[in-house]
Amino acid sequence: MRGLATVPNYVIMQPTTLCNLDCEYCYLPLRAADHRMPVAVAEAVAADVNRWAGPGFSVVWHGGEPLAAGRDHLAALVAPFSDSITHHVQTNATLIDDAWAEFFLTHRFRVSVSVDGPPARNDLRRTRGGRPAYDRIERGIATLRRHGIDFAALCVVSQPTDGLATELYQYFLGLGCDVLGLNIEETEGVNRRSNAFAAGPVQRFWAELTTVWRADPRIHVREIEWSLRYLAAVLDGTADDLLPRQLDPIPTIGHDGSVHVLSPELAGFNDPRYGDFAAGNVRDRPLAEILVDAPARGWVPEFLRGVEACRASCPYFGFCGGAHAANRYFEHGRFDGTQTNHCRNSKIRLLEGVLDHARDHGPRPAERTY
Amino acid sequence: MPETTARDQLSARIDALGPAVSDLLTEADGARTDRDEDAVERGLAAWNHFDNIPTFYNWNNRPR
Repeated sequence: MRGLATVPNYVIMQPTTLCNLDCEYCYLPLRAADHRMPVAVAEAVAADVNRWAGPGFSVVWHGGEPLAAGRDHLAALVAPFSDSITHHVQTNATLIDDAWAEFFLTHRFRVSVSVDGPPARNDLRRTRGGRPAYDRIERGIATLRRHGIDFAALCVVSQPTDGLATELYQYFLGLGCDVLGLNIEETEGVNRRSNAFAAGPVQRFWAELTTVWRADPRIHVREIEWSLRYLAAVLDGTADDLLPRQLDPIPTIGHDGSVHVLSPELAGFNDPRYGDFAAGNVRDRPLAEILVDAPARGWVPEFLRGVEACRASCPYFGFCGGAHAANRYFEHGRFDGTQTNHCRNSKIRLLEGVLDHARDHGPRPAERTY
Repeated sequence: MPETTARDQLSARIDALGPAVSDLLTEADGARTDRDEDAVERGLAAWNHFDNIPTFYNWNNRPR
């Protein structure tokens, strides 16, 4: 895997910067303001996306809270995209009512909700008035179930501890999500809370998750599936072919038409050395042209050197593909470093935790024959 | 190079756990079938599409 592809497999769109919640760990800098994406920006993006779109090409609506843009405005933003596009939304679910459920069905949206487990685990999820948001989250999810809408869930884990993985997995089994992703909290954006967790609890968290999932694998757990995919490749000798030939640029189009590649967490920030981190603006140039230039502009060359540094130095590179841009910047202050806390928490400890589970719950390791 | 040695050591540890990992992989395959993940109509979140995983959701790129 070398360099940055110039054609993406999906784009992320920010219909509004506003979020109706004010979660303590949120990295978004503009979430108290309602800056909405003009339809002209969506039209500009759709001009290229519709050419690229093949089976499974996705447009991911993210924010802020995408539903805070309102149904009429979100429908207007969706309208320029061709019917072959799959639309996804990542939502806190608090605004989901019967009308939103009908919207999802009409526009064939795939829905993913942000929820951190049982009520007590959502204590950092608060309304702007400081009240717990869980009841509203649960009500929105119940609405999805009532309308027969499948949904995924993203769970932020703020402090890995023994017993937590079991508690969370049991909760999500009851919630009824099809797919579950777990994000160990990251220090990025405006979130300056430390994620420098000790290795032991993190690794045991992932091992415990694998154990409890294996006992009842009704949910597709992202981190476990990715680990298993890598382990299978190692065992059949194809691990070197697992990473993509080039990084997907993963363009995020901000409310104002700005384009950020690789890490949307950089949007809204400014740095004396890197400027606003944007690769361009679709109001000025087509997205396709911006992505052709992106690998050689701004911070991206430094990041690509950082990926090479990871390749040369980290035994887990074949599993990970290199530390992510936002984690590099917000943890190290630049893009050409290597291991981050996020690498350790969500890649290295993950793989080692799954291996620990296999060691402790499987046949004896292969014995030497000499 | 020390890093190559470390990578080889990781691969060797995985190989040494081969029977246990293989059992886990076999069960996981069965679980995917039970979850009907091959069905075209079944929607997976964009951030978890097997061939389309965004770093935004904190994973590395995958080819389509």
